[in-house]
Amino acid sequence: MDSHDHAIDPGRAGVSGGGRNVAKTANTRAGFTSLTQSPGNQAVASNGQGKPAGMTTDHFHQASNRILDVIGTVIDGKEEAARLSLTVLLAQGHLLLEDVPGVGKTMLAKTLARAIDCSVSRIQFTPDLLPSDVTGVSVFNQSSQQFEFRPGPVFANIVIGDEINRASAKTQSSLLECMEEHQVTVDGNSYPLGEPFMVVATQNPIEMEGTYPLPEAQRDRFMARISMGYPDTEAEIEMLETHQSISPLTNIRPVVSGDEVAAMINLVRDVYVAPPVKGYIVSLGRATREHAQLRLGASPRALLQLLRAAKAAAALAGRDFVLPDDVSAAAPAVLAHRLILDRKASSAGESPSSVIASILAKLPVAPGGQRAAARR
Amino acid sequence: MSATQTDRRGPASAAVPPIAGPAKGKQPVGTWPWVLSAGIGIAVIFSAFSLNGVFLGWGWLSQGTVSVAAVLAATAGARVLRVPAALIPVAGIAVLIAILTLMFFPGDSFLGLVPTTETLDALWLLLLDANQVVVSQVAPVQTTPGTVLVACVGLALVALLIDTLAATLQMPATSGLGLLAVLLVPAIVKPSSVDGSGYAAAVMGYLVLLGCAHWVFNRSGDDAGGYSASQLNRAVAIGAAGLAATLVLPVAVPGFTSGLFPEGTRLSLGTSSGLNPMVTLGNDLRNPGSVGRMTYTTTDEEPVYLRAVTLEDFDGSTWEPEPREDERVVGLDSIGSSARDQLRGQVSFSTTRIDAGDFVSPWLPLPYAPVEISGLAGQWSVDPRTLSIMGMDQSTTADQSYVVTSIAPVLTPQTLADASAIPPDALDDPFLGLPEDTPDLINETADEITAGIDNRYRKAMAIQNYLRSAEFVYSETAPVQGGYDGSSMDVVARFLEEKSGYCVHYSAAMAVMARAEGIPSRIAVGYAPGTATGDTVTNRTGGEMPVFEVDSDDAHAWPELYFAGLGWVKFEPTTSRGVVPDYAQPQTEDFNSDITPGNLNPEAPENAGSDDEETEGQDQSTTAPRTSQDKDSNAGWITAGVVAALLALMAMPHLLRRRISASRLGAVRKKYDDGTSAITAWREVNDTAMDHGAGADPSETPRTFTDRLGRAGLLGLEASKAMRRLSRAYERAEYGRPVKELVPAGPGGAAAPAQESSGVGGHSAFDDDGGHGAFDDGGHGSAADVVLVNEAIDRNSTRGRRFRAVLLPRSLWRPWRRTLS
Repeated sequence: MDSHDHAIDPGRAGVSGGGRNVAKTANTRAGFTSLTQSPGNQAVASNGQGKPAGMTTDHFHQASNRILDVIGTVIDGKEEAARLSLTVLLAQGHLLLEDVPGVGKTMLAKTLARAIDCSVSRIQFTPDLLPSDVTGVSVFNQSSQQFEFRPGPVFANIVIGDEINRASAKTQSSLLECMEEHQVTVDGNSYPLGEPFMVVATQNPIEMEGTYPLPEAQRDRFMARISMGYPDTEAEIEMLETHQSISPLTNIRPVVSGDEVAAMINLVRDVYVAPPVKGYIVSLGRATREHAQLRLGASPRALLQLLRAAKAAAALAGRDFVLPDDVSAAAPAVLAHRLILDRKASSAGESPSSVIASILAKLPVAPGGQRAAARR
Repeated sequence: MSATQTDRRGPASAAVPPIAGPAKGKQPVGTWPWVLSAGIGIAVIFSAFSLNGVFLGWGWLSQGTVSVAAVLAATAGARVLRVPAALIPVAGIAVLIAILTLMFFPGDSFLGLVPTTETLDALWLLLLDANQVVVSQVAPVQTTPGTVLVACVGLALVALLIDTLAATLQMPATSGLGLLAVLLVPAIVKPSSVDGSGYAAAVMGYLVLLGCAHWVFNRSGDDAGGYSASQLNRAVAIGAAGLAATLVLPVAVPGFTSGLFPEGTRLSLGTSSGLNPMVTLGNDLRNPGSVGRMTYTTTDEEPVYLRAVTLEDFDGSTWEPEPREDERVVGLDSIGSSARDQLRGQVSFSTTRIDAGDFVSPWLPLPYAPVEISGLAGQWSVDPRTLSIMGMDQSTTADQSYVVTSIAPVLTPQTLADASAIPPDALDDPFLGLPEDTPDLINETADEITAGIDNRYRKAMAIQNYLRSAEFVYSETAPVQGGYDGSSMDVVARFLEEKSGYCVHYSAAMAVMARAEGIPSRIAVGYAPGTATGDTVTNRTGGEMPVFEVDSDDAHAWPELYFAGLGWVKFEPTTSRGVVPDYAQPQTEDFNSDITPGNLNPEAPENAGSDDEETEGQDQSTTAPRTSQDKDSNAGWITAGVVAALLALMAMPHLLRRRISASRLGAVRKKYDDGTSAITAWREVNDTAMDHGAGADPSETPRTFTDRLGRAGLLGLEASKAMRRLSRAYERAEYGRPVKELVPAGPGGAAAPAQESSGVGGHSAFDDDGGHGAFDDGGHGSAADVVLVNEAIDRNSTRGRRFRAVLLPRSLWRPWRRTLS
């Protein structure tokens, strides 16, 4: 199921444009990017462009429901995973799908990508994949007698990195710059990436042979890590029924335009975060750093990403403000893959998720009544 | 991204003054600590006004005010400087020490401010002085440096306590406890308790304090419009009800027979050293309880007066018995000769057995005049002139049982009249002299009464009759209220003006006037005959002897006048107390006729002891000595009062909780725009759950809390929906975009927030906020929902939890816990 759609020749660098012309999408996106990416006129741009998009909470809600419905037709019984992946997309983060083979990681990534009318590319990571296979390469054009840059598969709105832990550390780290800074630097020239830009990577946790575990720095760049888990009985029967002859992916048509996604992202940015909620996030981060069973706690970047994820989750829930519930709901997915357990704790059967759960059970929610205290 | 977000919002938020709550940490503290401290200071000083009467005069007030002001200024200053809350009282105490050093020990300290070891020595002296005053004086005590120091320390510490309660813990209402502590002092010490004006002053001070606290804690901007008329009406109604309760309650509750509230709860401070019986006497009489029970049986035909000590030196502002250590004779062997020396003519002997029981005094009570004492343990000494017997080396009467043989002249009016002819020889100045400053009124009154009488006995009778006349009213409290309690020449003069007092005043007046007329006199202090217990003891000859009991209610003072050849003869000028001896009966015109037993004189002494209740019944007394039956019924009333008070006390938490609940519901109905209504509604529901043992854990969010209550079955279907609405409204108020930030967003940004606030609330598209009803009224929690949830929680709780919620609502303790944690 993983790779029946885009067969990749395992012998060479498996780069495919997802059936689209990579160069073309890169060009069209470049125009869009130049408008929103320059920090100087950011406010103007988002105002001037967010308005015509006319994204009200109503539209936002309908659009997000459409995306989730589409994912639901392909992957049965995984609403939570679908919702989280959409959350990460709207929060402008990157998603790491980690699970055993064959539970629909790639399927989820591809469905999400297809539901949105934007460019998608897929990179099958193999041990001999080179960094230039990801970022692109400068080639000598005989006719113009000049080097010109041929963008790699990373120049797309959604980049699916399949089995990312199979590539060498060098190749993996080539993704770093793209993910964090949304740009590619080749031969001293920087090329901005499209907007929205999201990397959805999958990896197999148990297949240890021939894998290069993601370094912490790179794991930290993923906003969330999701485990798919096996579907329940009914969903699995349903899947056998509907998927037996034809791949459901083929029927998927985009339900949301790229502009709409950009507007949705803008709306998520405007979600209000009350000071107590920020305090809650910070105290959660501190609790992980001071926790006895953790060797490495949550980084400030992790907390920033947690805040963004909570904002997106709040918007998806139809609110224009963040609740502590949003934070605690997003925390396991956002934080678990960044925490490193103490050796004793891991041998005692603890996992980062269980540690986070125990922290959340004890952490006081932001002391309510700050405003109430004013009138008493 | 978030950076750009804050940038974008920058101008908008700059245009609006920040809301007070979160801004507290950064801006200057402002003037509120000073205002609050001023309020506390006013409250404490106002309450302290009722200390007038505990102390003589107002000399303590200025220094007390300075101490209180210094401490409060220190705490206010510490708050302005953001000293941690725990250190504020420390600052207060440090300043208190400094200011006390400056006021009381400027010479014995370093720079006048820092105490040194010399200061400690001086402090010790002052404390000794204060101790001396407390032991030896009756209220009002004189303002010596020692007592003023104690008063200053006490007031300043109360101020510090109130400061901690009102400012640090932000519970200004409980600071009434501190003021009550101040009022308790006069309530205990002053026999008239706290009078109306003192009480009113304390209440006014308390109101000032509450007003200041209200201003301070409500100053947060949003309701600057002042208070509505209904709020004022409510405040006035509550105040009036409270005042009415304090005035009506004492009348309604038995035991509160006079004075204001705290008097009924007066405590007995135990007995003082007993070295000055004059001090304890008034207190013993006024004290509703009785202590120091003694029993005695006597061979005398009548129950006897038990004399402990005499008072003959009428100098000074406070009369005290003279121990006369140098003249005392150690041991009791010589006592017989001293007593007999003074007597000529016919005498009678009687034997009395006294069980001192729990009566503790260095002075030995015994019937006058003792010639032989047996059975006493310890070292005793006797004053040959007054025959007062005092314990040495800590010997006291405690648990002593002893037998006294007394000698008494056989007295009739005739013998007394005869003896008057003989000039009082062999007596020296102590019993005759009057101080220089004897008020003229006393001499004039004495001359007036005895005008035209030349016989000394008849003069004495005239004085006694004058004092027993209807002009004088026996009252144990009038002298205290009138400010002439105690014993001194001035007090006697005041007594003759006011014509109201108790035995100390009657006896002093008679003794002084007798001296003015040339009759040697002294005041005997001890116990009136007391009451028969009904028990009898069989004596050696087989006769039955009644047992009498005496306790602090029988404390008494009476004058003894000297007649040559007869010795010291007691008189009884005090109406309603004691027994008037035969020879001192009023109609003594006919010297030669014996007084018949059937005399119709209402004050004729019956053969007391056999029927002494009847004697008291015939007394024209206003405050007849209590019979044991009286005591029983009183005990019943007191028990009932205590039970009622306990019940009221137990009901307090419930009433308080109800009151809080009602006021919150009122606030919720007001639907404040800034979301406080929703927060208040949520708080109320939360507290109800906490009362029922299902309070929100700190780690629980509104949603998880709501879910848990639902899972626990505490909410029905309807209440679950109501709870959801309340929690959604609360979330919006607590975590949502502040209302104020929306308004000045400017022309460009106005559209977005407006659309957001209306969009999220009103659009049914959002699955999350299912209960849209909550937003129909603009996101305020609804009072109906609160009531619904409260009732559901109460209904679905177990019986035990409901009971506990009524009796001890846990939510009342939350402010404490929050402060402690």
